[in-house]
Amino acid sequence: MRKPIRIVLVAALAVVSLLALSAGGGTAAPEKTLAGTPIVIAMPLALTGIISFYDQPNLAGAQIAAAQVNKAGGVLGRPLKIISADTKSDLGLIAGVAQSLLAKKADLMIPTLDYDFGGPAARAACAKNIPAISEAGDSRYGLQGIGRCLFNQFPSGSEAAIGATWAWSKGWRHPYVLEDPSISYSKTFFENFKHSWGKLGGQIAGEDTFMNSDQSIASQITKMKQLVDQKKVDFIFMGSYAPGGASATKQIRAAGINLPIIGGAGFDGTFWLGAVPNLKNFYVIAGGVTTGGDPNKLRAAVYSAYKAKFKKDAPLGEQTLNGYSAVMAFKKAIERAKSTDGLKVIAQLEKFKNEPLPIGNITWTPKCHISKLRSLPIVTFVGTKEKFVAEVAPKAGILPKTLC
Amino acid sequence: MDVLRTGVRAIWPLPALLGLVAAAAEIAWAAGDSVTRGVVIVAMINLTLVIGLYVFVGNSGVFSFGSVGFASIGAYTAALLVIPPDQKSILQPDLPGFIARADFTSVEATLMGGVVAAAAGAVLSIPLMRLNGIAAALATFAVLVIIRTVANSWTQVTNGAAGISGAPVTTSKNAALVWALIAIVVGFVFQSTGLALRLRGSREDDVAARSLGVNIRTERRVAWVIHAFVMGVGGGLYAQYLGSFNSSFFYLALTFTTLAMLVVGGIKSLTGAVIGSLTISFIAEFLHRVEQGADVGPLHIPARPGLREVGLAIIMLVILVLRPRGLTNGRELPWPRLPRRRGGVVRRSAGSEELIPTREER
Amino acid sequence: MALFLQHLIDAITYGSQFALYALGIALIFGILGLINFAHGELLMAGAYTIVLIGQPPWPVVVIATVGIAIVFALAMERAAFRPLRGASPPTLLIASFAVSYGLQNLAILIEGSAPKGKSISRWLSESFSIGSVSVPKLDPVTVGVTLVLLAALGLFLQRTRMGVQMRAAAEDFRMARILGVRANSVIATAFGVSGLLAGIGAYLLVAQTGEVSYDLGSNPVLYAFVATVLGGMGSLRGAVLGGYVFGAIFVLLQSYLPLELRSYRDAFAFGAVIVMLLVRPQGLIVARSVVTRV
Repeated sequence: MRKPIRIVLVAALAVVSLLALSAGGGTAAPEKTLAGTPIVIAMPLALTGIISFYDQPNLAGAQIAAAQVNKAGGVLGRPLKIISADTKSDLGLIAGVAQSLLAKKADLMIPTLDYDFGGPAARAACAKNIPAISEAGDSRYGLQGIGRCLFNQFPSGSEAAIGATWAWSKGWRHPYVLEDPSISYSKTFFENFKHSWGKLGGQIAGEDTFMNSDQSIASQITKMKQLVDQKKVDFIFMGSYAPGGASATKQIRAAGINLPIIGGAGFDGTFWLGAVPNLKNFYVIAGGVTTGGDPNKLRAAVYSAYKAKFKKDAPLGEQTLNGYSAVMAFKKAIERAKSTDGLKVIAQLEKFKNEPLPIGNITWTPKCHISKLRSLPIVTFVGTKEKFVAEVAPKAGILPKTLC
Repeated sequence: MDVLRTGVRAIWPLPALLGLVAAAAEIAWAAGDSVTRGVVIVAMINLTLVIGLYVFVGNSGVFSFGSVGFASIGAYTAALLVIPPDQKSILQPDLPGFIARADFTSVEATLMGGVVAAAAGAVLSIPLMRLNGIAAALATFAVLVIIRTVANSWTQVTNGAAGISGAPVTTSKNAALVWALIAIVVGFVFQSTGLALRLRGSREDDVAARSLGVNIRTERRVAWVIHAFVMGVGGGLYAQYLGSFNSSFFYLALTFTTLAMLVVGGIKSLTGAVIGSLTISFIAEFLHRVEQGADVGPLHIPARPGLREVGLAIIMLVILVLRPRGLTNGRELPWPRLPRRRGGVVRRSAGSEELIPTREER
Repeated sequence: MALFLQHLIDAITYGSQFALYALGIALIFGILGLINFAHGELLMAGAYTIVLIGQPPWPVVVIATVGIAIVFALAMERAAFRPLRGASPPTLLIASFAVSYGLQNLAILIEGSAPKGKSISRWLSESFSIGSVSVPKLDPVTVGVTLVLLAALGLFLQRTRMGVQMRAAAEDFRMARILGVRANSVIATAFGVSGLLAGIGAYLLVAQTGEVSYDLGSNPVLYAFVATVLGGMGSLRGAVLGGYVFGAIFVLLQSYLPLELRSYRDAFAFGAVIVMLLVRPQGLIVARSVVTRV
C-alpha cells in the first residue's frame, strides 16, 4: 500500500477514537455556599484505570458529606472544599499527583482505599504532617506502615475474625477454605480466618487454592465435592474477590454444592451478582445494605443520599462509607482541635473512642491508627437486593497478630 | 588525521546520547511540576530498563519477554538490603538472618540488585540459550511467569502478594539520571566489543551462521548476563523510587511498556533504545497533560479522562506504520555534518535486514 | 477411579478451551507471522456484547457475539495490521500489544473497571452425573463445540478454494502470491475466522465464569500463546495438541501438587514448558513453513 493512503487510514482511525473519547470529561465544581477560606481536602484518587471502581464511590461519599457539612454551616464557619486529581491507577504517578494537590494548600487528605495504590499518596501527606484518613485491609496502612498522619477506618485483620465469630455462632464447625493467593488482600483474609478459626477451637475440613484469573476451578470442585458428598463440610469460606471469586461461586453452585459461602469485602456490592442470579446462602462481611433498608440509620442515610444524588444505588458499600465518614471524622477532629493545624488534628483523631460514624464506631489511639475492634455488618442477597443479616464484632482473643 | 576523524566518529554517538538524555531530563525537571518530576524519574528508570533490554535483544536479535523478571529480582534484592534492619524486623519478622541484618547504602543495594539479577541470569542462561527464535522468546516468557509466581508466593522472603514496603525513597532525578547515563555507556561499550559484533552478525542471518558451524551461544550468554545486570539495576532503582511494591508491578504491563519503547525507537541500535524510550515517555506525559484539560489563551481544552492510554496506543501504531523498523531505522545517531556518507557512521547495522528474518517481502 | 475420571474430564475441558484460543492465534501466525496478542480483545469484545445485548434468545446472543468479534477482527486487520504488512515480527508483535492496550483502556473508559456479572444460560450451568462423578453440562458442550469447529476448519482448509489458498499462503506466501492468491482476501478471511473462533470462545467463557471484565482476554491469550508454541508454531494441529497438553499439565499440577506448593502452580507449569521446549524446540508438530525460518 502507498504511504499517503496509510496515513489517511491511520489518521481516520485516530480521529474516530478521539471522538469516541470526547464523550467523557467534565468535573464537578466545588460547593460555594459559605464565606471564609475553605478547608481543602485533597483526594488523589484512581479515577480511571484498574482500581477506579473503588475510588469513584469513595469520592462520591466524600462529596456528599462535604455538601451536607457546608449546608449546615461548615467547619468552624469555613466551607469544605474537595480537590481531586486522577492517579490513573499508575504506581509511578501517585506520589507526584499527591504532591501537586498538597501544593494547592491542602489541609487534609483522603487517599485511595488500598495500601499499594494509596500508600505513596499517604506518605506524601505524612511528610507534611497533613492528616489523612482512608481504609485498607492491609494493617500496614496506618501508623506503623506509613506514618503518624494516616488513620485507617477498616478493622484490618479483624474482618476474617468477624466471619469466624459469626460462623461459629451459627453452629457451623466444618469449613472448606478456598484461597486465592493472587493478591495480598485475599491471601491475608484467608490466613487470618484459619488463625481465628483455630483459636476458636475449630478444625478445617479441607482447603485448596485457585487464582483469580482461572477460568475454571473444575479440579478444585472435584475435590471439594468428594468431601461435601461425605457430609464432612458444612460451609465454605472464600478468600477471594470478584471477578474470580464470583466465577468460582458460580461454578460451585453449578456443581450442585449449595452450602453456605462466606466472603469478605471483596464481594461487597451487587455488581457481580449477574453471574449467579438468585444466589442464595452467600454471606458478605462489610458494606451494609446499599440497596435500601439498612437497619443502621447512619449507613442508611448515606446510601439514600447517594441514591438521591446519583439516581441509583451505591455500587459499593464500604467504599462509599469511607469517603463520607472520613470527611465527618475530619470535621469532628477539627472542631475539637479548634484548628486545622495538622498535628493538632492528628492528636484529636488519636483520641477517637467508639466515635459513631456511618462506617462504624471508630477507635484510634496514639499507638494504633487502625480501628481493629469495630464491628462489621454481614449481608446476604435476595434476588438483586442485599439483605441485612447481623452486625458482628470479633470475639476477643481470636484476632491475628497485626502491626498494632 | 583520518585515524583521528574515524575515532571521533566512532565514539560520537556516545557523548551525543549522553548529552541528549541529560538535557531532556534537566529541561523537563526544570519546567515541570511535581507530577512531571515524578514522570521524569520514572522515564529515566525505564530508559535504564530499555537499554538493558537492548543489550540482549538488540545485539542478539532474540526477543525476550522475560527481562522484566530480572528487574523484579533486582528490586527485591535492593529493597531487602536497603530497608533498615529495625524496620524489617517489624514488617517481615520471618526473614532469614543475613537478610534481616543487612544494612546497605542505596548505591550498594542497587549494585547488588544488578549482581543478583546477573547471577540468576547466568544460571537461567544454561537452558535458555540453547533455544532460538520463537522458542527462545516463549522460554523467556516462561521465565517471567516463574519469577513472578515465586515472588508472589515465597512469603518468607518476598512477603508474598503483599510485597515489600518501607524502602527509603532515594531514587532522585539525579540518581536515576546518572544510572541511565551509566547504562548508556555500558550499552555502547558492549556493542563495540568483538563479542557483540559476532552476535550482531549471527542476528542478521542465524541460519547461515549455524550452517557454517558458527556457534554464538557463549556470546549470547554474555549478552544475556550483562542485560540481566542492567535490568536488575533498573529494578533496584524502581524499588527505591516506589518505596513499596509487589510482584505485579514487574509483570506484563512493564514488559510491554519497555518492549514497545525499544521497538518504537528501533531495535537494532542503542540510539533507537534511547530515542524510543524518551519519545514514548514524552508522548505519554503530553497526553496526560492534555487529558486533564487546560486553558490555552482563549481556547478551552476540556478534560478527556483516559486519553493518555488510548492516545498512546494510536500514536504507537502510527509510528510503527510510518516507520516499521523504528524511529531510528536501526541506525546510530549520524555524524551531524555528513549524515549520509558511508563509513562515517559507526556500527551502522545493515539497516535493511529484519531482526528475525521474515519469510519474504509482502 | 471416579477421581481419575473427573480429572480426565477436567483436563479435556481445560484443553479444549486452550485449543480454541490457540487455534485463533495459530491461524494468524501461520499466514502473517504475527503473534496476535490482541486476540484476547476479540474475546473481550464478544464478552461485552453478551453483557450489553440484554436477554434475547440464545441463538441471537451467539450470532451477535460472533458477529461483533468478527467485525473487531476485520477492523483490527484493516486499521492496524494491513498497513504493517511485511513489517518484522517484533514490529507486528508490538503493534498487536498496542491494539490490545488501546482496546482494553477503551473498554475501561466506556464500561468502567468493575467486572460485570452475566448469566447466559441456566441450562448450561447445571450438572449431570456419570456414576459418582458430576459433570457440568458446559464441559461436554465446550469439548463438542471445539471438536466441531476443528472439523469444520479442517474441511474448510481442505475442501474450499479459499481454504486451499490459505494453506498455500501459510506454507509459502510469496509463492502463493505468484500463483495468483490474493493476499488481502486471504488475510482478511483468516482474521474473520479468528474472530469467529474468538466469538464462540467468548460465549463459552462467559457461560463458565459469568463475569466480564476489560482484561478477561489477557490470560486466555497468554495460555494460547504457550499452547501454540508447544504444539509447533504455525501448525494448526500442533496448536490444538499443545492446548490439550497444556490443559493436562495444569490439571495434574492443580490436583497433585502438595498444598503448600500449590500456589506455585504456574511456576511449575511454565517450568514444564521450558523443559518441553528444550526437548522439542520446534514444538510437537513441526510446521513445514517454520523450519527454515526459526
